[in-house]
Amino acid sequence: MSEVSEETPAIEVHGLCNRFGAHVVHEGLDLVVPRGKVVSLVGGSGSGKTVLLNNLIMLTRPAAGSIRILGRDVEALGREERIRLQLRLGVMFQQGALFTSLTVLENVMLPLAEHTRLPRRLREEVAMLKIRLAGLDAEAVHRYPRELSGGMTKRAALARALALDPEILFLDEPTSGLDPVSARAFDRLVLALRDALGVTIFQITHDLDSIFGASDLVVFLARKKVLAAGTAEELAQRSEPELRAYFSARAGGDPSTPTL
Amino acid sequence: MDEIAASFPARLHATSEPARLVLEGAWTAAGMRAEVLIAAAAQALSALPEGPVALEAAAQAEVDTVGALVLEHIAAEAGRRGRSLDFSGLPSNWQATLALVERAGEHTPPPAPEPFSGFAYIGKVAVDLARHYRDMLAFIGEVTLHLLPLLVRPWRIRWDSVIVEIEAAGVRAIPIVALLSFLIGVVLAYQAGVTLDRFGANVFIADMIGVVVMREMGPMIAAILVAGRTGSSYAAQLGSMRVTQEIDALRSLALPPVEMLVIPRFLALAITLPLLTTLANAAGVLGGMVVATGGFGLDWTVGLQRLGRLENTHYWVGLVKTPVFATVIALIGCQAGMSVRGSALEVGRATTSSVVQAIFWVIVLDAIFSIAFRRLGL
Ligand SMILES: Nc1ncnc2c1ncn2[C@@H]1O[C@H](COP(=O)(O)OP(=O)(O)OP(=O)(O)O)[C@@H](O)[C@H]1O
Ligand SMILES: [Mg+2]
Repeated sequence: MSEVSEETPAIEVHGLCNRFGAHVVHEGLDLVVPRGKVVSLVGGSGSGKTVLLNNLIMLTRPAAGSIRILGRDVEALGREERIRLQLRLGVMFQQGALFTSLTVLENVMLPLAEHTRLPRRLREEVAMLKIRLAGLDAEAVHRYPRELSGGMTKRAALARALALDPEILFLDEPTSGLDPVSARAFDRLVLALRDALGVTIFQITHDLDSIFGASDLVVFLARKKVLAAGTAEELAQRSEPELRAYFSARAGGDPSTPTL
Repeated sequence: MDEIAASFPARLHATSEPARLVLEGAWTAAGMRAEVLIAAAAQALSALPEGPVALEAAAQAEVDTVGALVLEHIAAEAGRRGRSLDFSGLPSNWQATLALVERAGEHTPPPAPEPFSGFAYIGKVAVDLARHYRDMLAFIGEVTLHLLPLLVRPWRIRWDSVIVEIEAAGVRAIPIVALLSFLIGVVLAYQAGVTLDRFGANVFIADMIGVVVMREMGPMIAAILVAGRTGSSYAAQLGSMRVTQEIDALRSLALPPVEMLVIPRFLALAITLPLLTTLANAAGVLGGMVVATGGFGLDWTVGLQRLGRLENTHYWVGLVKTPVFATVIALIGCQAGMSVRGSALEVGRATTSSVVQAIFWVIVLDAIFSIAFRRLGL
């Protein structure tokens, strides 16, 4: 990474507002995500995490507020610049959103075919590499999405999100629906991507083990804004009722922080 | 990264004292001409003196997993020439990326399963076709099994769904059915009028319109429009519900999809199509009469008298076919939807094939009916 990129945060959000009719989801939301960190967005159901994510990946436009991704103001971008910025982002949707008419391998190769000049054999190898990185078995690569289990679908979706080596990886509940062993393996993978490739990871998660074990920064969404941001341990000490309610759920569960 | 990639595509150059390859630019997915780089590296290596070759990255150079993969290829190429590359001089993020790529293991995808070829393909098509008709028969059986008990206890039929479907398939189709039948009546009256006029037999235009529209054109127009409008939407609705697992969810709740989804649609069409056909008959005859009176000097009252003297059989012969058409359209549409397995493309395929099949069978059955009614002297 060059000097400039170290300084500009991966994501800067200022004064963000979102509403559906009379229902206000966000009001004056501010958020800064530093580069090369694993950031977990947490909050109760319906607190607007997915809505915020859709703003950040430029699927929807907020009612008000500014968003800067990798130093670029997304409102000020022309069509070309916008596409180029989108190529630097990888998105894994909550339900996977794999193309049902393509095999896993073809799903991962699609962005490579469209946006790089690599020869076919190398595209296959790159796709295979991403599939391996995502922890999917080689024998699954020629299967269609309907032939995959829920966990395999997640991995295939991650592989596609990784296809173009994104600088920011957005993950919507990556570990939900995975068995605990796979979930921790997923956390390790996320950390490995951060360390090896310097990827910024912005994930929505409800998995307390991921929050405590595999996040550099936790952003807590409540009262229509970012109520608190810090390490998981810091947030667990806060006195706001929403935070206490959220993190007290952990007291009943497994208290050990997994060692990685 | 991409701006940098565009202005600094990946390059390499060799120095012989010490023997090394220097990597420059963006060794990333966006900026890479992989074949060119591998060839350039091979060429540079053959120019270097014997012994290990060190790899170094220039200060501004960048790497991602695609770049690392290309470096692996370069290393393999070097290995084939009996040279060894020393990666230890690369910066730590390069090392980490290379390690990540290496840890991932084998990169060549396993061979794809063989597609069918030649004779095997013909066989597959035949088997698929046989299977399709077997599934269709099984589906008809399943619908019958669910329908019979319901006919004994009609209050258990989901009439609210039936009514919703009648509105969608019937009420909303009224304008298009009326308009098209009217126009067909106009066209028929013109063609008939030109010939009959030559014999001074204008009064028979009314007879002819009445017979042709009520026996054939009305039922056909209504059935073909319903096949295109409603049969296709049944296939698409049920097909999407298969993709989103709604059908599985119904089964798991012990709500038979056939009873919940298919029978209401089938009954709705069986009720709607005769009504739409009657409407089509009326509109078609009206269209014909407008032309006959306006274009060929037929008197309205005379025309109406002629129509009034036609036998009722013509109307009933047309109408009796419609429940059969309705059954064919509803069953083909629903079966196509239920046979969808998984993908969005298949929903489209099922929709198209339901329309084609439904129209095909409507026309075939209509021909059979015509012959049968002739034989019966109706
Ligand atoms: N398209 C929409 N139209 C109307 N309301 C919407 C729409 N999308 C989201 N909402 C509302 O916005 C609020 C936030 O929704 P969002 O999907 O972001 O929740 P979330 O934080 O992702 O919750 P979860 O953890 O359950 O996924 C909810 O109250 C939801 O009903
Ligand atoms: Mg959500």
